[in-house]
Amino acid sequence: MLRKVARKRGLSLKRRKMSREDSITVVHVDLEKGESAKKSYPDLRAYVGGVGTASKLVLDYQNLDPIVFSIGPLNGFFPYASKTCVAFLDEGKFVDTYGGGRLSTRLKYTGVDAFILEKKAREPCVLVLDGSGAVLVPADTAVESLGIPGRRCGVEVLDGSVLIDGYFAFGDQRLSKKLGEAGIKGIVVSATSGFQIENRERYDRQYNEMLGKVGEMLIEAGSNPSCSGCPMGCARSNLGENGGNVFIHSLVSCVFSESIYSSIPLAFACLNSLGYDYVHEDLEALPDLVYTNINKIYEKASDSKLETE
Amino acid sequence: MNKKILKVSFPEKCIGCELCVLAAQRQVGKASFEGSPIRIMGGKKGYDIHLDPSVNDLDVNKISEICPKGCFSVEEGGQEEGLEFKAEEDV
Repeated sequence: MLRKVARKRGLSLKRRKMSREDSITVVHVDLEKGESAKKSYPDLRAYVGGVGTASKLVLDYQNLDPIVFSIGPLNGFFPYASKTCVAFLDEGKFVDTYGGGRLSTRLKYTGVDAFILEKKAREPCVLVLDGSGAVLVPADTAVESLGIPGRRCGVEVLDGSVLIDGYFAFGDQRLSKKLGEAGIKGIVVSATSGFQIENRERYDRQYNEMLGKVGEMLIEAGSNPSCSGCPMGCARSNLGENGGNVFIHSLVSCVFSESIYSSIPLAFACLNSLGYDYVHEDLEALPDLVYTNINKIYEKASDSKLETE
Repeated sequence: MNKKILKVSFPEKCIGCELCVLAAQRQVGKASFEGSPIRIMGGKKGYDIHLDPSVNDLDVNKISEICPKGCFSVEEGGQEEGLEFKAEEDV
């Protein structure tokens, strides 16, 4: 969709310097078969990332009961953009929940924008993901023993919570039940790739400007474990988030940086420094795109229920 | 020739934000963890900052200054060359 928009306006998507390609890269994990495949989706750029991308993937793969983990264009590149969105259906209700820690930077530097867990595993297992793809290992494998030290992130599925690196929770406890039902006991992501910065001077300038806005964060700095790329160490980094601002949660930054990233000129400056060619209409259209996806998900669920009955 | 040496002076203050890791990588034009001279290990029970010597080829002041908790110090007067060892027959 974005390509069509861009062509119409005479924009060149090739200016995206730091993104590996123009597409959203998604790893599909078939839990039932224990197989994975990496796919590129040019049309998903219109959804930016986070809940935008995740809502579209949940809609498109609804019949596979998907659990979608999705990051955004700023994760790994700019301060305070430290969340990972997870979207799924719980008893027919669309759930989007967010966790911090190191997960979003590891996914970014694995070259993966999103991964989808499809169907259910035959045996409880741990998902191990890196730049070469995903594999499932037996659930009795200790999560902390997997992945590359210093470049890894471990997600543990516990009774009633899902913890990133033993500390950072997701906002919605239903994720624990959902992952448990899918047979997932843990997820380990190792960052095995990355990006060359082509326009370093411009990127550095933009990065430093954003870091200099630390005083505008809506929470006090502390000495708690901090999310990767965030200097705050705040007392709420471990609590996760739910729903809320579609734009912020598509980028995907945290709610306490809303005062910073809600500034459209600043968001444009960050996106443009990374080579993204979004225009005002693209970003303005985002909430409608997401709500349309969610409505379609509910329509599909309703149709399917009627067919069953 | 003397050079500046980055030291981890207060590891217990580290909050795991990895700004130092990313700052070091930006200096060599990368956004990644691959090949980074700094790695932050550990988790909720505390973090360890692992430096490899190649970090001192970078602008260590910038790395030190970006840490929000002041974990690093920069020492002047380090040797540029490492110790030199000679094979026994050359001694």
